[in-house]
Amino acid sequence: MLNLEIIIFGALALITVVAAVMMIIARNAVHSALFLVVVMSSLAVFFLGLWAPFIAMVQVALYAGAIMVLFLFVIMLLGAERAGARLLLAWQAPLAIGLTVLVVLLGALLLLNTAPFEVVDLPAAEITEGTAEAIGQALYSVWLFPFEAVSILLLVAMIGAVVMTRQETRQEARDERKKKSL
Amino acid sequence: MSNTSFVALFPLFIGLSVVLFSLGVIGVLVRRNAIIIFMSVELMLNAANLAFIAFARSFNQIDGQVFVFFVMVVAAAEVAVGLALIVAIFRSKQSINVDDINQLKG
Amino acid sequence: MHEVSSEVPQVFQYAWLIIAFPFVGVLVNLFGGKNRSEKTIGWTAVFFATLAFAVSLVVVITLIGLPPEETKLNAGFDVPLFTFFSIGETTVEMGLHIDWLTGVMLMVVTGVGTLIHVYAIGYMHGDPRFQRFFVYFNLFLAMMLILVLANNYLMLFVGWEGVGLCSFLLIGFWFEKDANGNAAKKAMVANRIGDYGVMLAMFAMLIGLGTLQFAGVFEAAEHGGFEAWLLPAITLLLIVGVTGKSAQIPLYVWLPDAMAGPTPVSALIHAATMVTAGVYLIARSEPLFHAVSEVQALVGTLGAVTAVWAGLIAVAQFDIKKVLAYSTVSQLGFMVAAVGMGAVVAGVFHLMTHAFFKALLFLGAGSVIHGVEHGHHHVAHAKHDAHSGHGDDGGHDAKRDHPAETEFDPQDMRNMGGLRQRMRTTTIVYLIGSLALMGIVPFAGFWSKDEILYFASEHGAVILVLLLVGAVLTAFYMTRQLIMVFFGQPKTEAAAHAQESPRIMTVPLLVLAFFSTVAGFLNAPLLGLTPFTGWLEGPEAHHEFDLTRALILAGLATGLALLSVFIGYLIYRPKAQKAGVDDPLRKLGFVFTALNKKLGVDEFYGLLFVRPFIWLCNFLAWVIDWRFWHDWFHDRAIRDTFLKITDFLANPIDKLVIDGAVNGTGRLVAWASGGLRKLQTGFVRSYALLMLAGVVLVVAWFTLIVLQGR
Repeated sequence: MLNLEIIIFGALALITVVAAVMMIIARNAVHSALFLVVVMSSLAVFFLGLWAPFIAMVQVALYAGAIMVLFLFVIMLLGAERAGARLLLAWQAPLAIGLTVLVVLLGALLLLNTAPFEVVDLPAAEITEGTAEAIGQALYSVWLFPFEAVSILLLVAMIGAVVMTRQETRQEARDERKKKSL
Repeated sequence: MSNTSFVALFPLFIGLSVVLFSLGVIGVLVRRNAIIIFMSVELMLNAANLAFIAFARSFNQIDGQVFVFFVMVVAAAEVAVGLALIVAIFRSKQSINVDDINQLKG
Repeated sequence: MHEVSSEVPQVFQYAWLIIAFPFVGVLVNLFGGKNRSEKTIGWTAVFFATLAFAVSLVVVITLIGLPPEETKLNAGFDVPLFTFFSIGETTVEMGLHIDWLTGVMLMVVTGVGTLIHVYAIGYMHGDPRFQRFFVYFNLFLAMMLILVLANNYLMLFVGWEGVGLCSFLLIGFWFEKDANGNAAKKAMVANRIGDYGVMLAMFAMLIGLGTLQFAGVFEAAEHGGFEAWLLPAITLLLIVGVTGKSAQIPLYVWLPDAMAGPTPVSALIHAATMVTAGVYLIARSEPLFHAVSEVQALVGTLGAVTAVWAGLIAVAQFDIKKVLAYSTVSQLGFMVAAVGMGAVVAGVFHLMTHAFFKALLFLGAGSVIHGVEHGHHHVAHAKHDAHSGHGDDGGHDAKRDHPAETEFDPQDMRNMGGLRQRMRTTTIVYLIGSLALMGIVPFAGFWSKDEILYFASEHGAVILVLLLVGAVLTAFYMTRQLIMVFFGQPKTEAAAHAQESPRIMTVPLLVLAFFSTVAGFLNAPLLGLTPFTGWLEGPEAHHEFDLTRALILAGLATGLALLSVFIGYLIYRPKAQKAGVDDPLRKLGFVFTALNKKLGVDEFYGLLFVRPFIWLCNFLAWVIDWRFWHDWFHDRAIRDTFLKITDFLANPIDKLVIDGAVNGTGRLVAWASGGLRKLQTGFVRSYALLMLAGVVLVVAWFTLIVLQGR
């Protein structure tokens, strides 16, 4: 039965898939990044519909905002919109697509042949909505330890990124000195 | 989203997740631009996130959403390190074509 | 007779010190004697010999104090030391056996040994291997003491071999001369033949009697219960050993040649102590010989024949030491004859007196040689004025200093004469020793020889006559020697300038001369003095002593000896000697020549044993070893076959099969890795694709399982 929600879903899903395909096939990396933003934004809408407003908000702010800005920033910084003409593994593309389709089909076959997943339908009042409050409660009680661990992971990643660029700086300084002495 | 439509839509959410994930895989395998490969990885992560959220909704559990939160954090860390790497590689190779980076020697 | 007293006197527990002291001397001089002065080395050796003598003296005094029936021959005391080995039922316990026979031997070995040690300090003066000499000497003493103190045949054999070794080392002491080395080898070989006899005898004891302990063996021999051949076999084999060690026919030939060693060695080893080991062995094994009268008769005859045989040869020798050497063989014949007849006391008594006077004679001879060499050295220096100063300190080793003077032989009696004027002490003691040896009243030799003759008269006419002939010959050749050496006019410049030996050599001579004079009274039945018999045989052994017969025999022997001396004087008195003839006996023609050539025994042995042996050696070496073994067997049979096999293994097997397999494996790996290398492209995307392929496979596998499960 075709109601409004399904139509919206269909439309959004179509946009998402098309944007994803475009992201892959776009020649220009900047275009790819923008298409990815589209994908992420529409996913945020899906999250909203799936009663996860906090995640949807984070999706927009973090992914579509921060991460994608970072991507775009790097692309612009390096001027690497195009990877260059060198094409070594031409045969890989059809093979990869074929294999992916194969695995999807196999997975489908697998799923179809297992016991079907029963989706329980709950009344709206009983559904736990993923609000900031609910997520916060979960994070600071049950998931406290992983939460702290992840904070350390972020710290390490940050230091890693800094160190990597710093080393390069030194290397460049050395090269500079070499050039001068030459 | 109402309950009735969710029951009907749930397989489609999973299907959408599968499609996006597959597209991410193809992107990783097909593209040579390291940044686009990265973005494809992000796409795969997002597809997984979608599946997480959908299952969380179906089990009526908040934990799925918490997990998505963690995935996002990890993705952020990954992007930070990954992009730093790309910048470093580009500095030495003047290229972000992964096919150019086929030697351990810098 | 064989019961061993249960109570061993405390003193005897320390009797092992007698053996230990000379060994300590060996070690001290061996490790501490390098670069020490002659005095230090010599007196160290003498010190340890004296210590052994002192302990021996204590032992003998203790023996005197004990009841005689406990200490007589083969009663005595066993002092166990340690278990040498134990195989199955057979156990050999090392231990000391102390009875009067041991006591007498101890006194002879340590007493005479110590005196000769002292003498050697003077005699060996200036020798470059002074230290080694005294190490050997102390070692000899220790070995000889092991021999006489042993309480079993194996330990006795240890000493037996040890003295043989020392004898070999000391005969060849001046090994720079080939003759000395050959003499040493000859002694070794002759002794080895005898030693095999002793070894076989021991094996026979182990097989037949199951023990090597004296007590056990004698007890078993007494009680019987074994096969009839056993005792004759054992005794005959022991006799073989005796003929080797104690220089009896047919193995005596080594002893005269052994005079190549330094004179103290001749005196100590080849006259006084070692050569009496055979006599000791027969005396110790008396219970065995007692049981086999045929062998006893054989031994008696053997000894008597040896006595005459060697006496004859001694008559025609010119070397002063050779005369004494054959005299020793002859006297050993007397002893062997005595112990062979069962007259152990007489034999051992003669052994003891002989040890004194023969050591005296040898040392006297050494003194003579020393003096003549001195004189010769003096003359040589006087001639060669280039060597200014008298420098007559060279002594006997002048030969080594002046190789040009080797033609002169200071041991040849033809080079002597008239020494009595120059060497007074030596002359007197030599005279005493000679009289003792001849058996003239009242010197030691008379009493002991008379005792043997008395027993011989009880035993049978043949041996008695032979021994009397031996005694007559002894008197004759000693007279000859005395006149040639000490009387008349000096025959050479060297003899005219001879010089008396230093005090350190003459003092031992005087001590020995004293004992050669008085030792006989230890057993003088004519005077009623028989303590020696009492010691060895115990109080209950009361021989019927026929005084009349003893007197007749003594008179006969002395008369014959004196007659012989007179004849000798007539022949050799200075007036009778015509110019140009070195020995009046040359008139005897070929007889003298034959005797002078030692009756050709060496040549006979050479023809009978040595030549065939050398031929056999050559045959073995050239035909068997070289042609057959080396050329044919090694080169042809083994080497060529081996080469063929290795060739086969090397070329087809190794090169084709083994190498093929190895190289094939290598090539396979190289080929496979060459193929796999293509996967390692370095392209990250390829790796990712492979990952995907893996995922496909896994999912496909799951699907397969699920589909099959339906």
